[in-house]
Amino acid sequence: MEIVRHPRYVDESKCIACGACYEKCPKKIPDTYNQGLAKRKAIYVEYAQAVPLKYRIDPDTCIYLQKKKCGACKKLCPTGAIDFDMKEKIDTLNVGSVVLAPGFKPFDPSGFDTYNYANLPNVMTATEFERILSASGPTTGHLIRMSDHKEPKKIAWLQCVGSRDINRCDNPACSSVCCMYAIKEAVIAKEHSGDDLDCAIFYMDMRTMGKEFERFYENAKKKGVRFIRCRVHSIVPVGDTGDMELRYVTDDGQVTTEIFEQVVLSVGLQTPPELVALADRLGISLTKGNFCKTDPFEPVATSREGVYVCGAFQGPKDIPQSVIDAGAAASAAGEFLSPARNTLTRVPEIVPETNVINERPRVGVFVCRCGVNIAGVVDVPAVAEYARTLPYVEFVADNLYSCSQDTQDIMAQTIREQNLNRVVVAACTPKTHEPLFQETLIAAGLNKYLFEMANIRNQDSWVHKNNPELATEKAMDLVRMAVSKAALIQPLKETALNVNQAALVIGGGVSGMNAARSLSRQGYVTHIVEKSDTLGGQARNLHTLPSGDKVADRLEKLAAQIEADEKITVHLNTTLAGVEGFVGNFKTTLAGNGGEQVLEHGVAVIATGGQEYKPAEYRYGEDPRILTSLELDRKLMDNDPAIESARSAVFIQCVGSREPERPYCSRICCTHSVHNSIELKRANPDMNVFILYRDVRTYGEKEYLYREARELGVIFVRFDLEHKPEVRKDGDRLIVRVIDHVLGIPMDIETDILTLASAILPNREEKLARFFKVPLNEDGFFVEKHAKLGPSEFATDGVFLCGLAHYPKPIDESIAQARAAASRAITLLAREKIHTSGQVAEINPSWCSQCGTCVSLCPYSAPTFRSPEERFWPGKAEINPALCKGCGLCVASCRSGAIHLKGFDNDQIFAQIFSMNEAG
Amino acid sequence: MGLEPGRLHFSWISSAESTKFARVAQEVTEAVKALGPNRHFLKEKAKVA
Amino acid sequence: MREYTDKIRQIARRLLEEGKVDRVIGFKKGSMPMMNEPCVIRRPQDADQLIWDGNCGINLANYLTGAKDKVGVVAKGCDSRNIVTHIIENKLDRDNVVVIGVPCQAMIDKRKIAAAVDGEISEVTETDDGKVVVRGNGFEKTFDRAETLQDNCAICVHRNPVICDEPVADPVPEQTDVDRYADIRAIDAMSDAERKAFFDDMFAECIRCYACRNACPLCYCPTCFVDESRPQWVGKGQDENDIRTFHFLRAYHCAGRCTDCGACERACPVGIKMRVLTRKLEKDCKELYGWEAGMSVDQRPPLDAYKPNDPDAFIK
Repeated sequence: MEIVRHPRYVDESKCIACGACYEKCPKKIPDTYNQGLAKRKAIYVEYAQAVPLKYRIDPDTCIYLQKKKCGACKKLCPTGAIDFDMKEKIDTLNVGSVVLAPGFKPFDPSGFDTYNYANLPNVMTATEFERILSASGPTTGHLIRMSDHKEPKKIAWLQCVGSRDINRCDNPACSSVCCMYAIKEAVIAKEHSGDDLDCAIFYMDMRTMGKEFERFYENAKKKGVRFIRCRVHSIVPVGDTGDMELRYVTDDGQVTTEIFEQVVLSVGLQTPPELVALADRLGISLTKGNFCKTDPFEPVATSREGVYVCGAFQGPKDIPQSVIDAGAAASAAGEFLSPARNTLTRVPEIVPETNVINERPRVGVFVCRCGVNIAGVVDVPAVAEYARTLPYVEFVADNLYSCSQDTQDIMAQTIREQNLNRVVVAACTPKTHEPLFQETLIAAGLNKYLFEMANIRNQDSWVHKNNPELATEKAMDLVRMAVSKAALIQPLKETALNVNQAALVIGGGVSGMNAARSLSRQGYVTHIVEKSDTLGGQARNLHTLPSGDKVADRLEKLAAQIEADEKITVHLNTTLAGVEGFVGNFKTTLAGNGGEQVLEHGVAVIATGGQEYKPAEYRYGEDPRILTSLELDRKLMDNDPAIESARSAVFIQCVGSREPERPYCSRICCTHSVHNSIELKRANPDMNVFILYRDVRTYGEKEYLYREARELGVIFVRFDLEHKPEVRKDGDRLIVRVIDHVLGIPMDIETDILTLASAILPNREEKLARFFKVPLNEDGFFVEKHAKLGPSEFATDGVFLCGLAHYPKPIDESIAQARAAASRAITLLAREKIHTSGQVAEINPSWCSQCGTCVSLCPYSAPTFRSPEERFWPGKAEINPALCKGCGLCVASCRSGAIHLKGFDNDQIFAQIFSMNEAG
Repeated sequence: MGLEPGRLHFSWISSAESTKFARVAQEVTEAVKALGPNRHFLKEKAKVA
Repeated sequence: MREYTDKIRQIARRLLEEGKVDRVIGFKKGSMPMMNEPCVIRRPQDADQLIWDGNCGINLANYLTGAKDKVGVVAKGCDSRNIVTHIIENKLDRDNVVVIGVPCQAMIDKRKIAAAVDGEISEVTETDDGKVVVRGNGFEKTFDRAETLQDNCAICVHRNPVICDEPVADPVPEQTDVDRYADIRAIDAMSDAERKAFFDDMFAECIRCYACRNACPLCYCPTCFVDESRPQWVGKGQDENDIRTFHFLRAYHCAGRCTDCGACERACPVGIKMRVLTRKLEKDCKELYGWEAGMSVDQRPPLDAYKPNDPDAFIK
């Protein structure tokens, strides 16, 4: 494939991101990252965390590129990185698969003249408001409005701007994320401006269907955020006050107006025209909402083989879901490319390590000028001279750019020639440069931990520009501290652990099978443990998907693939009796079929699923016409005559969900009921179908179903938690009474089928949680490593998570997460060996009092107790270096002072502190 | 213990919040400067005759 | 009290006879008035040495640390909570301990009585109607028992054992109308200078004997931080800062674990009221985490665990 590389006009290999160019660039333009709310220069880095951290020139605004004048950056750049002659380049890449992650564009509300976005400075989009709330934003997080820079006291959010709207724009889908981000912004705004800030969110349906979202919504209500169910028509300015009047209808039907000082438009997610064109060039199909078309059983595969998709281009979605998709797409691409794995890898040369133990410290100090970045402020030669006087220092040099390749080579040579056994670099930040210097140590035959950095740039020359003398003094202090620590540092060992190449998947449902299939397709032996006597899990109870697919057919195909797969062993009627070991080296005892068997595996995927709540309410169980959603599916599958003969059907939503005792949304029930209502209407167009709901949560492109159902004549009646429907029997008649929210009067509906959209319950796998040392949340679902960044894995290494065990979700999302879990697992398996960090905690057993605080506190389950039968130090705690992340929590918590963090030991830190004190 | 509460501060500052870091550092510095040098809980260096 | 003694002896004898325990730890009469001694009974026939009265304040959980055999132990409310803490902290196996639970009627403070009479005390008896009769050479004085209580007992709200295998009597009513933290609030309200002066005064007498540490069932580290030399967290001399550091660090190590059994103050030879430190932390744990130490073997102290809803108002 060919990719177009736009010119950056800055040579990436030369730019050291010193910022000299930015300082001098005379051209100020609106900062795109800050949504135009602030200014930046024509030469810029998009935002502080950009990777790679290299500058770029905006050719549309650069004075030189436009008028051949200026060129200040070129004159100033200390490394000569500026290249105005750079041209557009076309790179041809030979790739086996492509992953599309082009994202979305926030909807531009300028076209809605009733919202006056283009005219009123105090009407903002939510993405702009996001920057206002950000500490790194244009107001440094200070909440002010644009017209007069006053702190607003009343803010309104208008939902569904550019979403769920085919009248004023052509975006029929729900954008999925706006309800949650609006609530988040309201809560943060209140945090910034104090509790008396009035926040009102105007919405149609509150769609907080993600994990922990409903709780956040409820907490926001408690914090005083107002939620008003009304779509506001227009925003009217109030004279020249900068305030705005909103007219809306209250819950009891009263038309009212209210004045706000700031209005935020919760703009939706849409695919920009250039992406539609890209899709066309690539030959992939889009949905009617211009999102990438995928199959529910292949949620990340585009219509073209080998081309995969993830993120908001696949459909409007939030970060957790996008990250899950990303994992799934990586897995899909990996499966596709499996035969080619490791065909392009090279093995690095290994330099033997010199033993420095028991040698007197010989510290080499390299002071960096960083061009003018450091040397322009700090007297670098003076600092170098000073370093020479410090104890154990044998060699000092100052470099123009320590990080340049030639300096690195010289450093390695110097270390050898001078026989140095500790290295201090006084330069920039270890965050970006420590690994580079450590590579140099390794190349010179030194253990990479015999290294210490003093940050005399970011923490000195940059912040004390106006006090060069004091900055020089501070640089000396920093160097002295680093040297005093360096003299005490010891070489650390990185233990290598073999990763057993087999995987265990617990649960044989759709998630488990997909995870196993992905693992197997990428070449790994996989075991599925299923407690029942058949594969398929909850999906066996489902009839059809909104896509029209018969679940049973797809499931059968999948199960057949699993059974035919030589790399996959299925253990039916089997449960786990015990788990020993840790990442890479688990030993799991399987119990079932009359015996026990020990399985060794390197990773585990928990896909234990969930179950349907059996309602205790709405007279469930008292009448055969009262069904759960799955029971209705069963009747549809069986072509039950009761369906065809029914004249009327009622669905009641949120049965057992969003209740005080189960304060989460089960995510799928709205779509499930809406889909089944369509099925019923299709089977019998004369049937009266009612859906009694609290909020219709047909998020994303599921919104089309909601529209279709309404078009087919399904009647939606809203109720609230305080006035739930009542079910009664009058002789043979089954009657549902619900208070009509428009009229406010009770309405009786006689029905032949009453479907209760009952909650999805977790299986509350407490035993499994204990076995793998992974947590369950209050509701009983497993807790992932990080809601956004690690949704398919646990904080405990080597254990992964997918499907309903994580949170209720539909089949396509379960499959995506299963493949994401497999993908994450493969990042471990593929390494074959894992190297632990040398900077891990270690317990001195003779000081350990066995109190168990570290065992309880560690988020990674690294400390455990030795067996009481062990010959040495029985019962004392020990830390598994393979699991330890070196966070130091246990070190701080240990009353007995038995735990030390290698590389940050007490004596080293004290040496630094005490040598700082010498400054006087 | 008699140490002024103003000598101890806690703050969450993410790696992206450079301005907040600078602000907090300044606030803490000013708060501590306002208190003046610490007189309590200070171990005198052993006086050698 | 006689009934308690009889019942304790009876239980101890039975446990030893039946082989349910290898030993029973309880109290025997001391050689001085108001100075009952802990004792270990290994044979059923020795069970009659055991006694119970208002002078059994020593926390016997201290003798259970690291026990590997089967032990019966006489335990008041506070002792039982320390036994729970021991179980949580792997100092004791629940299956190895038989708790002979004593619903506690509060302990007598021997110092208060000694201070209230002149001359050497030869005999102290408690009457059934709540009096304490003190006799000595040429004097006899009667006190209301309620006036002679240890400070910690006077404000105790958990007199009944939290875990109990062999109850000695029916539970006693718990005190509900006590204010455990009046003095702590007063210290909190002091100015920095006043508070410094308060602690200067409080620690002036400390001789660094570590009796408070040794009496405390929570202090069982193989090497105590005061004895560490690399790094030396706290100087070993009589410097006021070192004394202060020792006391507040010791209190912090007890945060969320201290049951206010009073062992530290009882052991202090110079009468330092160091419970204000442990109770300040007890108050914080209660207010911040709703936590009281040693009430359940299933939950670790708040400083050993992280919960997303832990309060963080102190973080700005």
